[in-house]
Amino acid sequence: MKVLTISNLAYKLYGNPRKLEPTTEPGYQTKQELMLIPMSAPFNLVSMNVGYVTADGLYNRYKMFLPTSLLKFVQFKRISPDNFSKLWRQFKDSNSIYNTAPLKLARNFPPLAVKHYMRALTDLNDYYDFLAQKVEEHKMCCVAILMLHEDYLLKLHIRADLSFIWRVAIPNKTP
Amino acid sequence: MGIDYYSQLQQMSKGQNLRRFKTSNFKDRSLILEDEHLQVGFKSKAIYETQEGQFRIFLRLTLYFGNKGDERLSNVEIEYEGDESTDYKQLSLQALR
Repeated sequence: MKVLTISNLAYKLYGNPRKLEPTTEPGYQTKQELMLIPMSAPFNLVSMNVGYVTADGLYNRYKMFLPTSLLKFVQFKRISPDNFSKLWRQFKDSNSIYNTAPLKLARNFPPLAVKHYMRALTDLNDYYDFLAQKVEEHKMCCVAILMLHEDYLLKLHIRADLSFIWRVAIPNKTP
Repeated sequence: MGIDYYSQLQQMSKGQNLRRFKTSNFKDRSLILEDEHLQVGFKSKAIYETQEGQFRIFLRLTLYFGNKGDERLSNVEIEYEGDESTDYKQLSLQALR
């Protein structure tokens, strides 16, 4: 395990916090830039510990994961359409489904070829109904595992104009 | 010794809000921590590039640590932990008004 510590400007890590210099003034903000380079996919998340002492001498410390913002690196898992529909139903008519902006597929790219790149995708409706224009969209689904279990439900909608959107819902299950 | 993700997730689900973390994974800017004194937010950008014929993906992450209160916060510590599956480089640390 690699451990990176920071020691410049006002920040110092490790050691007795009481010996360190004061840092963040009221109303001020400190910015830090990091570059994360995944060496494998999916990768384990980087965690961050933040600690500080208040004017009253109270020491607070938090531990959290850094967001990856890249669902690309989570592990995708196949799910049956029935199971997916059961899970998805709990989010229907709620505002906890997140939609991406529409993206356009190349005209010579058959929509079903998406499955070649993302093998966990399962059809939610008949592709031939979509080709015959009996339905407006072709829908596919899968789940994404961030670390331990089904963390995200993913639904892909492909429209007749070859634009597509991802819809994401987060089940309330906790480990 | 590796990171114990299971216990960390449990800790987060009780405290910091696991849902906030999960949602932040598909946003390009969001808050990841907030209490009465400190606010931690981020902006992120995925960078795709080809270098010497190899396709590489980076995540550029900018973290903002803000003092929300009227009092000075002292002894601010930030520590990162990762493992061999991720390489991470610190680019800069600067104080902003």
